[in-house]
Amino acid sequence: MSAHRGVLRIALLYGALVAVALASALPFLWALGASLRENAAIFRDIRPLSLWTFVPRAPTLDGFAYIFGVDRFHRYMANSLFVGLAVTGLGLLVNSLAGFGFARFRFPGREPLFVAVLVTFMVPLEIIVIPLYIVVRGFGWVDSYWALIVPAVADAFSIFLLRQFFQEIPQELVDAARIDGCGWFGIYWRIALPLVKPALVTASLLAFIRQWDAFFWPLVATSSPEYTVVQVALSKYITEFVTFWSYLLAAVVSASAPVLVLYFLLQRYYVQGISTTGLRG
Amino acid sequence: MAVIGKGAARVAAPYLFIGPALLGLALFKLYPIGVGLTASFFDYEAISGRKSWIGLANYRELFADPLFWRACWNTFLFNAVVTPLQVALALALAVLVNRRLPGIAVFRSIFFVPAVISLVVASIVWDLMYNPDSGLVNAVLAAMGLPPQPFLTSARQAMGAVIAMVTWKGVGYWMVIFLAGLQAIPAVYREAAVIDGAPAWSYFWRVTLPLLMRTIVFVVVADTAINFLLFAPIYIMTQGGPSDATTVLMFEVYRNAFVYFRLGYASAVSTILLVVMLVVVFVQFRLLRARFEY
Repeated sequence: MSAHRGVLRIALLYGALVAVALASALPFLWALGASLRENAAIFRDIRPLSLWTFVPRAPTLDGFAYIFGVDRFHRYMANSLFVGLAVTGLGLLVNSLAGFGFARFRFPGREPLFVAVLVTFMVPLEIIVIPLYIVVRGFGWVDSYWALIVPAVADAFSIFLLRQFFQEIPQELVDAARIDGCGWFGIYWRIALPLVKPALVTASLLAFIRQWDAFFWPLVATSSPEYTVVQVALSKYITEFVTFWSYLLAAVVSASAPVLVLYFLLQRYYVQGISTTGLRG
Repeated sequence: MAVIGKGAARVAAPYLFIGPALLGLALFKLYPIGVGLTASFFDYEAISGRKSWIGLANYRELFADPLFWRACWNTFLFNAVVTPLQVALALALAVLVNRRLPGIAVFRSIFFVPAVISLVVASIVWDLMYNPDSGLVNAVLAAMGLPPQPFLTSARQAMGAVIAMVTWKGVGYWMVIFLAGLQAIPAVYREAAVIDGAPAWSYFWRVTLPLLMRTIVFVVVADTAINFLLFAPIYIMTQGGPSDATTVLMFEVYRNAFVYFRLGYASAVSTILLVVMLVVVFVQFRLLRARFEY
């Protein structure tokens, strides 16, 4: 009797899990299948719902051939890659320096300065986008890589995360290095950085993905195709290719592939990074 | 024990470490925050960058504009539904996948996929899926024997359709945070409850929920902030329509600033958005704290 109920419970549980998994994955699987159809066949097998709704009967790469061959979607992807790597690389240096400074020194003004860092953490970009635009225009950076890269480098979340990790390095290690004649920069570079590698990986991964997904700021800060990043290009495709769904879907799949691959490869760091932000409560 | 550097160099060291980051934050975050707080009292000429003080004129115009009130109502409606929905579903899912079952890790990974793809991608895919004639959603409804719906093309359904898509996109993300919170609860409590023969449901209400309160407060507050500022789905799927049914405040900020080039007026809208958001977050803090303080 009770074993019977146990089986029923497990069956219900897996039923719920499968239902949610389908709801989570089907939209993207449909987009993936549809990106491999000819344009005229995109919606052909959608009703009645069957396997053919998701699997193209005659797969073709026409959509991809168009966006990479005729249009230059790879240019937009390269822009996002360049901006993402630049922000991540520079950010890694600048933010880890600051994290180290806040973690390992006692100096006048440390607390108020750290509060200032936290304030920037709490005011979202969307709210300051207009004054930020005015500042960036003052530098003459509108519609350039500078506008996309420089404002994003210093990042309160990374500083905060790395500071927490730098604080955990034992003081004896630092003292020993100083007695050996190691300068502060040497301690940071040769001792502290290698010790916080997992935090560095997490912070960079999240920073890169944030840049890859960035939409609102690139939309207002750039306008010419030379500096268009991938998300902005996609949003333009939806009006440009209003009846060329196969191009649109090929672009959607191409834009998502790098992040999805990164996610499944580095799942551990990715999920860890997300859940660390939750521990601030 | 100062082995390195002397005098000035030693005093300067920490500032050299934090200097570059602070310079960046001051220029591109703190200064804009300061400007943003005052910009709404000016009339900005977007092209020349000239500005003149006009006091509360932007706000007077704003409060007289029916579209602003419409946007306020839409923002309220959107948030009143989407945040509780996301938090409840995320918590339920987290509890569901926080067990030792064969294959559970695979399910967790799949549930997180909507959080991995970008909001722009999700908006485009759902825009196509909501197509009334040939979209996937109506195909699913048809398979279930339900009549097709107009979704984004109807002023009555557009907001609901946006809410459904945003919920789908957000739940996996908050699930992971809840999962981290759940796993921080010591196993001893669970074992004690099992020995006492307490039913799972009462264990959830009396033990899990109170112990998870810090995480819940964080998720509610962070989710509220994100949803108040949501922009991409509206921009891509509806452009605020049909007949302003999905015009939220954030979309008004964008339209005034970068379509009509009225920076001062747009600043007034975003100032109000920020103030409302802070009030809501403050109230949430008070309510959640008061309910569960022992």
